Amino acid sequence: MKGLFDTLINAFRVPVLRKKLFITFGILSLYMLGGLVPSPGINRVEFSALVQSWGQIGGLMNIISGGGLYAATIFAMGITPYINSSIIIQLLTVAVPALERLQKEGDVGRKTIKKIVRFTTVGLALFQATAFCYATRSAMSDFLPKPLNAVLIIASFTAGSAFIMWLGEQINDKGIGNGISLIVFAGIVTRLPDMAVQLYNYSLDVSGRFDSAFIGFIIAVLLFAAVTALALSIIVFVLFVQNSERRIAVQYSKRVVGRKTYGGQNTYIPLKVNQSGVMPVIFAMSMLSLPSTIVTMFFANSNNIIVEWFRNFGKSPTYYLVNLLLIVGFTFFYSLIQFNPIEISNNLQKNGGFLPGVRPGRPTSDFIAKTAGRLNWVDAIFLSAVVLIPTFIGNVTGMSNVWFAGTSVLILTGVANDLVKQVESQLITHHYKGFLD
Amino acid sequence: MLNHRGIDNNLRPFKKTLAKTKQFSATLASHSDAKLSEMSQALKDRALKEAKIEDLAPEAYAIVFEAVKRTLGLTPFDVQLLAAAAMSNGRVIEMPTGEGKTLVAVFAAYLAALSGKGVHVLTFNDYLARRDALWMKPAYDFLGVSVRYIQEGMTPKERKDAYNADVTYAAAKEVGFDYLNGFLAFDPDDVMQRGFHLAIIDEVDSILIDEARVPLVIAGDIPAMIVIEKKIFAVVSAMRKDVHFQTDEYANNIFLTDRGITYVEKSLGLENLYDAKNVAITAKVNVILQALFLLTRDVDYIIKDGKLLLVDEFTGRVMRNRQWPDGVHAAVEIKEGLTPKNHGVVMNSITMQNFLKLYPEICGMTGTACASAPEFFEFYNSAVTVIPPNRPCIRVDHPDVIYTHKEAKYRALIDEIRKVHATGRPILAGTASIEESEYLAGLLKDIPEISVLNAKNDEEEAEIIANAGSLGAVTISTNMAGRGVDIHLGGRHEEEHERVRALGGLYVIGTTRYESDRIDNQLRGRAGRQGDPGESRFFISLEDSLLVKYRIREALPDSIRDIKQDGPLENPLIHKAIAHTQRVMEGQTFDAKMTLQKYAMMVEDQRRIVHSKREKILRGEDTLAIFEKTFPDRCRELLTKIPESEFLRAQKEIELFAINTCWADYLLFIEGVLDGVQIISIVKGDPFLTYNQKLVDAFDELEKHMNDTVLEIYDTLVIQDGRINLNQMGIKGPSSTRTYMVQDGTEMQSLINEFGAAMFNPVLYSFYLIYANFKKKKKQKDAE
Repeated sequence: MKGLFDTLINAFRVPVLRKKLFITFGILSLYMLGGLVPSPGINRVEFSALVQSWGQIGGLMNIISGGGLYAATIFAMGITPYINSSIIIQLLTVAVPALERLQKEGDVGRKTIKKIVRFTTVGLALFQATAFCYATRSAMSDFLPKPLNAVLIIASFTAGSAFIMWLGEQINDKGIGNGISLIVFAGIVTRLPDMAVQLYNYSLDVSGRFDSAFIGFIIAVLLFAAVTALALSIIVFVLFVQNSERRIAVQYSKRVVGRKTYGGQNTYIPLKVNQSGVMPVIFAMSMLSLPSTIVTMFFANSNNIIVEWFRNFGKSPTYYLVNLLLIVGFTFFYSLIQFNPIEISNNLQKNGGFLPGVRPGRPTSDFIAKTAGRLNWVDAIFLSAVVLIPTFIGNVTGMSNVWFAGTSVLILTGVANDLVKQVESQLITHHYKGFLD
Repeated sequence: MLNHRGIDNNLRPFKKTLAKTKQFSATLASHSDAKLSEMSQALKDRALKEAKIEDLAPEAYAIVFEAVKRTLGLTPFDVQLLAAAAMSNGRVIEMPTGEGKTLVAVFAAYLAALSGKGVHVLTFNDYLARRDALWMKPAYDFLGVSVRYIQEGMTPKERKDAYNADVTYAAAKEVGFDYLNGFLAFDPDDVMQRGFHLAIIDEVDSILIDEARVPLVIAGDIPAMIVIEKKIFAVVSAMRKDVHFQTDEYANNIFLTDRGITYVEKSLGLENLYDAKNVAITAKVNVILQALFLLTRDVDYIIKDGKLLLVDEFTGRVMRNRQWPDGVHAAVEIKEGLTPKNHGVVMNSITMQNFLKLYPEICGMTGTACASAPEFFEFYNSAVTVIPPNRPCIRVDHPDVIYTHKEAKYRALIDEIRKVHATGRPILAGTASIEESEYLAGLLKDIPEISVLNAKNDEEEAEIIANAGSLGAVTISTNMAGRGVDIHLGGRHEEEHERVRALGGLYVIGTTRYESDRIDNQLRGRAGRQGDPGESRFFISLEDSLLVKYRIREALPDSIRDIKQDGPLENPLIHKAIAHTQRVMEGQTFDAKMTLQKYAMMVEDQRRIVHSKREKILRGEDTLAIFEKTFPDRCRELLTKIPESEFLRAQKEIELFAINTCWADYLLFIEGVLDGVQIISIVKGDPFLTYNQKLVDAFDELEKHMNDTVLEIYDTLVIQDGRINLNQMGIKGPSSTRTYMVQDGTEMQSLINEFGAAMFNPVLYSFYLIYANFKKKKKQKDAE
């Protein structure tokens, strides 16, 4: 945490970086402001109630849109269409040879791809807005004829998402950090006051249960402090783990070394402990919430035992077990598809590098795979703990929304870490302890 | 008006200058020579006083116009004046071949030289520097501007004189080397240059783009660290491809297979080749493998007069004093049965790109700038301006003729050459390598007029080119014929000019397409100068190395790929595939350059800091003074034995020596870091951050190392007759060798930040990852 602030303070001393940071903050503020503009043609209370009944999926979409969904603002769809479009096009660059060729054609090709992503975003936004509008048709206001009203809503949602895309691109081009991540980050941050208010209300509620006002007050303050402290310690812990790495020493035979050696001379492969980031958690959550969302959407009025079971699934012990298993499973799955020990080993070989004592080729990739496998266990346990403990607390205390705290922390710290790294990276080229001058 | 590709074709401001110039010019025609010289002198005085050089442009150009007319008998065209105005504005100009770029440079150089700060006209090679300087000298003399040129082999004294002239013509790399040599000077008088002001760069795309990545390197006479032992060499020579070692797809890297490792271990009696203690041996094995199996005689290098000479991939020319790094050079010498020489250790290096950034102002000219406009803009912040041709180019560029296999291509080529030669029309055939040029010449040896131009006989270049346009000439060349070469129709026989014109001018035949269409166009540009007629045509086959290397062949439908036919193929797909490959190559080179530039930034900063510190010490304005600070007692004692002046002299030289050796070590360290950080991008880290952090930390240590080195030297002081004998202690100004170090094929992997996009679309993203992974695995399998 201290490093983070030091970095930011130093960054503000460098004019180029200061400008970039101001632009970034400016754009994010613009995003937050825009998130206050309500979408026309919608009965907000009804709309909100409707989407809240969608359960965790609705909750997740709400968080990503920075609360815009529940509040029925023009940013209700948030940055999702842009994320989807980026991924679809990225996916297609592997599958479609024409796009793959563009990707390889350097700067000009990449600009074309950017353009394609932009058009796809608008297309997707249009599609999603139409779907939203249809699903929430009962929450339309009735000042205008229905079809006209629908067009109004669809246009507002689409324009909102296109605007966010533009904001994100501005951050990429003129600011610092990754536009998409930062906008999601800002969305979660805007939710923090809400969470604080909720906690405050809860403390108030708890204090009311005591006869003596004084004891009630003390308990409430203690509770507030304890939860805040817990939240902070989770953040620190998550940051610590996200920055931990296992270093496998590498030696290069291609080069000779000089007479004087430097401390930083030893090279290594840094294997991150939390290699998979927040992905397995998101995977697990989508899988888990799917049945309950279906139940809420389609069998809202049924009292069938199975429906009932799914409805209360979030509170049952099975939920924790299944969630745990899914997180562990996805951690390994993600590592399997994303981490390629053979690629690492090949790259080493090409550059004349080797792990001391280990033969190049198969033995090297095996060694790396084994080490990474052990780290996966640590990663899986870490993610499970960060996600399940707040969920448990939420269930015990009855505060809604706390279930998302762990995931939020993972996302927030992940983005913050990433940003700090980028700032550092630029900072170091502008401002370093120069000697001799 | 600047478009997104970095091209600005708004000529309006330059046309204004042109109009004003013509006004002045009209008044000057009647002036006497003496009067003009006087005006030139007056202009110089005004430039010193009034400062704003741009305002003087019309007058200056008008005076040059007259000077050129009277001394050289040339009347500059309007387009040349436009070009000059654009260049004085910092532009890179594109002008068709044969329209007199050399003359344009005089205008821009004269204007800038008025300030007295010294202008460098950087050419592609020594020959052009000398030719252009001598050719234009009368005009400069007339104007009262001193002009000199620099050649390889000139003494430092001669060079210093040349740099003190108002205008200095020199090959770009010579100037770069002289700059680096300043880093090794032990006496302020040995520094040859007097700062950098304006560089006018001829064949600017070649110097700024093709050569920009090749670092200029000076090596000291400190022995190299890798010594190749005969025994290891013998062991490696016995290895076979695909049994003991493999190469990667682009043949840039080579590595041992399991069998190869076992074989080396057995042959050398090692338990584990990859044990930390065997690093030196692994390094040597690697180096020998590269020398034996990746580098080919007459393609990558030639042997001439018992010397190993490297051939430049882009220009096809021999690069004198160029060498491969880290023992590879010595290994190739052993391979060719030469005695390996001691190549020394790198003392300092700078890329051409960073060197040119030392000039506050640059401008340039070439025949092919547009294709590289984005790069000029990105790296040098210079916009490209296309100057309209004085006479439109009427050369006809025919589409490629494509054959299925090489034999068919050569047969068609030979037929074409014989057929055209029979008419007496001159032919220039550009080939891919020395080997190919000789092969083709062999097939045509019955033609008496045939001449071969390649790296092996480059001293005859001027002669061969002078004749290349004459009636019945057949010139077979490597891509050497692409630069600064002006082929005059009819050659030396003016009376033949019209006959050759009537035959259709020069006929350019390419036997292969190069990796960039810019280089293809350079070859085409040899024909059709100044409105002359001309034709160009490329003959290629599916077996050409460009098509094989980038797997264009495999991308073609089976119906084309597997047939062998004598006639040409008619399939537009191939043209498209080649154009695409060239674009991809350019895109990738551009990316690689961007990345390399990013990585070079920090080192460049640090190099400048060290350089300027050293310069201050050299001039006696500064000192590390570490000995006095650490051991004041010993210092006082020493001063009782020797006079203070002697102490100061020794102190200075010791410090200069320490800085040089420590910097050399530091450069080695950086190379190692660069190798090591690549792996970080594969595990999704930030290699750039790691790299910079290591450099920042190490730079602090560098200071400590320098101090330690100084102190160590004081420990071994040899005092004779009240003098400190530094020579006896092995401290002397190292006599440097200039070398061009060739980089190996390692290119930085760019870091793709998937973080943002990856986070929120579990289903889509996992699908993507699975698919990408599947594809990657399939590729690996295919490769195996």
